Amino acid sequence: MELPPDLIEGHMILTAVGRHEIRVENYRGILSCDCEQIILLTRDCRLVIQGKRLFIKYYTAEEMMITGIFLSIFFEVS
Amino acid sequence: MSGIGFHKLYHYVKLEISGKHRERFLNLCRKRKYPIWDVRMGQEDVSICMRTCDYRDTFELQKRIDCQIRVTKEGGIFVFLKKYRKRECFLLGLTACLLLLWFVNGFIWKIDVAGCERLSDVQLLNWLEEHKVGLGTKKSMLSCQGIEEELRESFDEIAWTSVKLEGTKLTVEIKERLELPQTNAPDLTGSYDLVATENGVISSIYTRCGTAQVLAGDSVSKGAVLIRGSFDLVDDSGTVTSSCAVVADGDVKAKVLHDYEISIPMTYQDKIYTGRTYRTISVQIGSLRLHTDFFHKKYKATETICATRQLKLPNSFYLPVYFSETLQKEYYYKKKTYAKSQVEALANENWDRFLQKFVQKGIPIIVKNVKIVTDEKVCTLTGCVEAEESITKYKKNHDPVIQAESTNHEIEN
Repeated sequence: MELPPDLIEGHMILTAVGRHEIRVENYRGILSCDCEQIILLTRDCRLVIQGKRLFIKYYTAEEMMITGIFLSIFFEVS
Repeated sequence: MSGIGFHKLYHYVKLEISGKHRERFLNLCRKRKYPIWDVRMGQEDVSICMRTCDYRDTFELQKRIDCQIRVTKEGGIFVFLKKYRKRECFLLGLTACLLLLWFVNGFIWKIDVAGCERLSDVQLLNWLEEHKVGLGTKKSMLSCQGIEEELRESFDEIAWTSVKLEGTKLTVEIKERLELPQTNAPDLTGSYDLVATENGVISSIYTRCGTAQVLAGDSVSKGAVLIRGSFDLVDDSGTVTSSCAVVADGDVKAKVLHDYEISIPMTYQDKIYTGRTYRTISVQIGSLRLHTDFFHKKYKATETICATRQLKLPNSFYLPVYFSETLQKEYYYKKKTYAKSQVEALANENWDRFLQKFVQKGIPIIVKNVKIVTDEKVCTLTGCVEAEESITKYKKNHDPVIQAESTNHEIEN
C-alpha cells in the first residue's frame, strides 16, 4: 500500500494556477517577504518565489496562497 | 478557503507591522494557528488582517519580538452594526430583507427539466403540478426520492430519473428508454379474433395461433376476421370432434390506400410591419406585475416578443422576482395573391408532411400519386398513397370456448 509522500515524509506541496496564483502546503514558515520576493522554508530546502506585486492572500497553519505576477520559482538547497 | 470569508465577516483588525523581525511575527501566529489574510508587503512594513480575539492573544508575543504593531482598521459585522447603530430604519430594513430571503429560501422558485425526447417538458411539468410540485411549493414537503419513484411508475418511457434540490431550484433529469416496453395485454380469457382495422388487400399472413380466414391476395374490409380465435380438434379419421378457443396471434400485412386532399385559397392575408416599435420593462413579484407602458399609445395590431429573466443569487438561489423586456412591433394585414408556383410549392410541402408520417412510423410506401389543379380561386392537391402495413386488432369472439394463453395486440373493447 503506497501512502502519500507528503503525509509520510512531510514534503511541500506546490500548486500553481497560471502565472498568477500559487498555493503552498506543508511548509515550515516564511523566511523573508516583500513585494518582489518571498522565501519559504520547507522541510529540506527553501522555496524562492520572485515576481511583481506579490501578495499573500491568506496564511494559515495548513496552507497559504500567494498571488501576483510570478517571474520565477526555484528551490534553494542550503 | 471559505473559513477566511467567515472570519472577515465576524470581527477582524488590520495591523501594520514594522521592524526587523516582522516575518517572525507571522510565523509565530501560524504556529499558534491564528489565521492571517491580506498580507501586503511594503518596503519597511507589512500589513495583515487577523481576528480581533487572536490579536488580543498576541500581546505577549509582541514583547518577545522586536517589532512595532499598529492597528489601522477594524472590520466585521459588529463594527458595521456599531457604525450604523443610530440608523434604525436602515438596520430594520436590512434585517427584514435578510428575514425575507431566509423565508423565501424555504420554497421552490424554479423547476428545470432535462433529458426529454419522446416526452415533452410540458408533460413532465404538468405531471409535477398534478402531484403538488410546482413554483411556490415548500421544500420541506418535498421528497426527491418519492418523486423519482413515482415518475418511473407513471411513465413507461423513463428508464432512469434524478431529482435534485439545489437552493430554490428543482432539477428533474430523465433518461428515456431506447425502445418502448411492450405493453402488457390484460389477461385475455376466452376466444379473441384478429380483425382488420382498414380496407385493403392482404399481402402476407403468418398465423401463430388460431385459424387463418384469409389468404394473401384477398381483399378485406374493415372489421373482417383475419385470424379466428379457435381451431378444430380432429380425430384420426379427420372428423372434427370439438373446437378449442384461443387468443388469435399472427402477423397480417395488407396494402392499404390512403387518400389525401388539401385546398389552398389563392388569396391570403400577409402581415406587413410598419416599422414602429416600442419596448417596455415590467417587474413581476409573485403574481403582482408592474408595467412601464402607461405612456405609450396602443397600436391596433402588434406582435409581442417578451424576454423574461428570473432574479438569481449565487448557488441556485432563485427568487420569485421576474424582469421582462417586451418588444411590441406594429403590423397590419394586406390582401395578397399567391403566384402559381408559390401555391403549388405550399401544397407540395403539405403533401411531403403527409408522406413523412409514414416514414416516421416505418411503413413502406409502395405507390404514391399526386395531382395539383390550380385555378383563379383555389389550388387543390389530391393524392393517394398505397402502403403496406399491419392491420390487426383484437375482437372478442362470443362463441363459448376453452381458455388459452394471451398475446400482445391492439384490443377492441
